Amino acid sequence: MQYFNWANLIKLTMPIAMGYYAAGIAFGILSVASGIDIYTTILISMVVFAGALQYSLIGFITEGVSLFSIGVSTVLISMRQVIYAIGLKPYLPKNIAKKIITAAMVTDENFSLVITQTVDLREKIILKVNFLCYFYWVTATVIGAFLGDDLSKLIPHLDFALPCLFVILCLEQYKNIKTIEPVFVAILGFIIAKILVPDYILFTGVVINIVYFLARYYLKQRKQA
Amino acid sequence: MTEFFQQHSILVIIFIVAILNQVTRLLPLIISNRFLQNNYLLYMNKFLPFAILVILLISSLNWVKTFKLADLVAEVLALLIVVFSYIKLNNFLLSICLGIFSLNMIYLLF
Repeated sequence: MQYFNWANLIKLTMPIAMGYYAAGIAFGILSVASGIDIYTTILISMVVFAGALQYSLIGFITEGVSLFSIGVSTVLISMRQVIYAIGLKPYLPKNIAKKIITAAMVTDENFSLVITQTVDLREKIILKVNFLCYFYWVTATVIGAFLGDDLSKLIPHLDFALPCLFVILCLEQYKNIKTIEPVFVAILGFIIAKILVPDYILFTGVVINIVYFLARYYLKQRKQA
Repeated sequence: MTEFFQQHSILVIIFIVAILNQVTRLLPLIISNRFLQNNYLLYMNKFLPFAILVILLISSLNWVKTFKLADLVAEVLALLIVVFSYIKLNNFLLSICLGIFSLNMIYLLF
């Protein structure tokens, strides 16, 4: 019963809040430093609400990547959310509007938090937990966006925050899969794309990686058979 | 006028990304789990995000535009500092600040 209380839910989501405020403020600063205006930066957090994807979005906008590449990359970066939504499906609220809102706010962090609660609690807290996480992320972006405008004028090479964020996200990915094979495949894909189609580096790089991993899985299955 | 179209295209990009992102979150509500748990899809889901992030990391480096060895060395050194600080401190914001500070120091000293 105590978990219906907002104060307890804030306490429960505090570790997520700490992470979201750090990453969200960084996103706001970086986005504004990259030339995206304050209100567009806040809009991104409000409608996208996905850390890694939002950082990539700054790259898409500033690098002038094609819409097709953006679409493909977005789906590929967000694919893991499909798995989360499958896992959480039994615990989503019965009300259809609440169900859609809850599913639309699923992230790596709130999924991990909800899934570690007892089964009977999951359905009761999921909407409020997801809403709190959304609130943390958007307010952090607002803080970062307003700070970023001044900071970008004061600090040289502030746009280097983007590679810094990507390297941290890569590190997090490495922690999950414990192999650096995708690094080599990605570097190879990047070099081939840079030489052959320098205008579509991201798209070509992603396609090369898809082909590689599909072929690798096929060969692995054939070897096992 | 150009600025208007630039802002307009940024908004289009944001909404495309937002819609596709939400589709991946809402897809399991309408499509059967059996299709979504296809082994090829799961295998790609495991490795591809990492590979895409590496490509994005390389593309975001200034060195890719300048092709100067000095830029490459400075950025790689600063990124190594980010990696080690993140492993030790596990703090997103602090590691990013350290990365920017290190890059500025490297350019200042060498």
